[in-house]
Amino acid sequence: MISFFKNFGKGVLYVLVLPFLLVGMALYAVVAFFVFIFLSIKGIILFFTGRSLYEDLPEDIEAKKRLAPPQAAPQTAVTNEDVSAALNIGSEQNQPVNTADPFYVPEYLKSESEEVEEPVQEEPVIEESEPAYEPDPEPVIEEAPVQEQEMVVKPNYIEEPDVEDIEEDEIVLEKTEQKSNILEIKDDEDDDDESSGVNIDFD
Amino acid sequence: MNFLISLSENDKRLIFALLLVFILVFVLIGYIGFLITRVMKWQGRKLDHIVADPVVTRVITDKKHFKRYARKKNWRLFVKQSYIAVIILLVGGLVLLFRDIFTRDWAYNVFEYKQTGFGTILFIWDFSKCITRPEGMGLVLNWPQLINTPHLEAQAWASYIFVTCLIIGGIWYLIALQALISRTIRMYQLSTSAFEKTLEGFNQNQQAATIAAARYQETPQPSPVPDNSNNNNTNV
Repeated sequence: MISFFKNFGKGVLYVLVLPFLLVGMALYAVVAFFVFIFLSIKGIILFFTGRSLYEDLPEDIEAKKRLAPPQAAPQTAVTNEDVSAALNIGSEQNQPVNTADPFYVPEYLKSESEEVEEPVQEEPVIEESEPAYEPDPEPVIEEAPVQEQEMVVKPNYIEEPDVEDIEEDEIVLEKTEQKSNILEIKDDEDDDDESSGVNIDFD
Repeated sequence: MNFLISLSENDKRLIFALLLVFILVFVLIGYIGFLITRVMKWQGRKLDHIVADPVVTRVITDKKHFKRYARKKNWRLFVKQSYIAVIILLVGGLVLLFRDIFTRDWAYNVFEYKQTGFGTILFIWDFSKCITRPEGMGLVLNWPQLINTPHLEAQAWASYIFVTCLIIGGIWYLIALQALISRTIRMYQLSTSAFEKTLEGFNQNQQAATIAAARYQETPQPSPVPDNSNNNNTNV
């Protein structure tokens, strides 16, 4: 009930103040219309100079700079090629992946981001007192000249003269006595024996 | 002189009904005003979104700078919101202007209701003959006479376009204007609240005690000696 009468009081107040509100609003509308025309003309001029009426103010630019993360590297989607490149050859590529840092960019992907801002490479200053490091020259191995030698191949067999060169007289086989355990039958002994050949003599 | 007013039962009922209607009308106006206030607060919140970044990042650090910056952004947003409304209004005005130029009728009444105006598509009542006073009688109340029913007229085409554009563009422009006023009010509120240095609820002694407690916690404390006296080893 109290809120009902509060609304009633507000209604009375609004009715009393309404004429002044309307007058103020009408004046504001007229002023706003002139400002609109002024800003429209300004916007047209800015358009033909290559700018825009709605471009950022200096405060906006400064605020964006301050709000930007310190290392605003574009996060690229990790593909299979990236993973394979990270796991393959190269000591620089085999760095541990920092999974805790959301803005972590591996070294092998930083080449793309570095293209945007190329740091000025300073020329290395070489101090005269300390000579620059020079690697030791590699020892030159002189190759000894190869002496040409005739290859003498000794055969593992005894050469025999050709058959045509051998005379018939020379073909004499050497007699060799061969001992055998078999009983020999001498022809001059027991010639008359006509038996079966078994020697039954008793000494 | 004493005037005795004798009211019949019907008169009392009529007065009571009129009083009730009177109260209800003002309550309704109060609710409408409350609704408009809520809408204006909602429109004013847009300014927070526009000016938040430079204030949060401390690019803007004083009240004067804030007002200058917020005013610029406020007017730019008004232009952005209202340029379509202005274009609609201009189109309607140009249509009416060309119509007057071609017909050379500079006394053209846009709201005429018989043949050439926008009133041809409206219901028109004649309220001039509602109250009559015949001879020998008091006031007589009559119902208003209907003098026009909606019908299309070819001659009134320019008024149709002009009045339609006027209504749409005008309402659009007034809403943008209301938003502009809301943001302006919000700008003055924020210029005082965002850079206000207040000691409300501040107690220096309490703050000193808090600092001392914080320093005590930061100093390294000796490691507590483990107390094994209460260890009742039951696994004997």
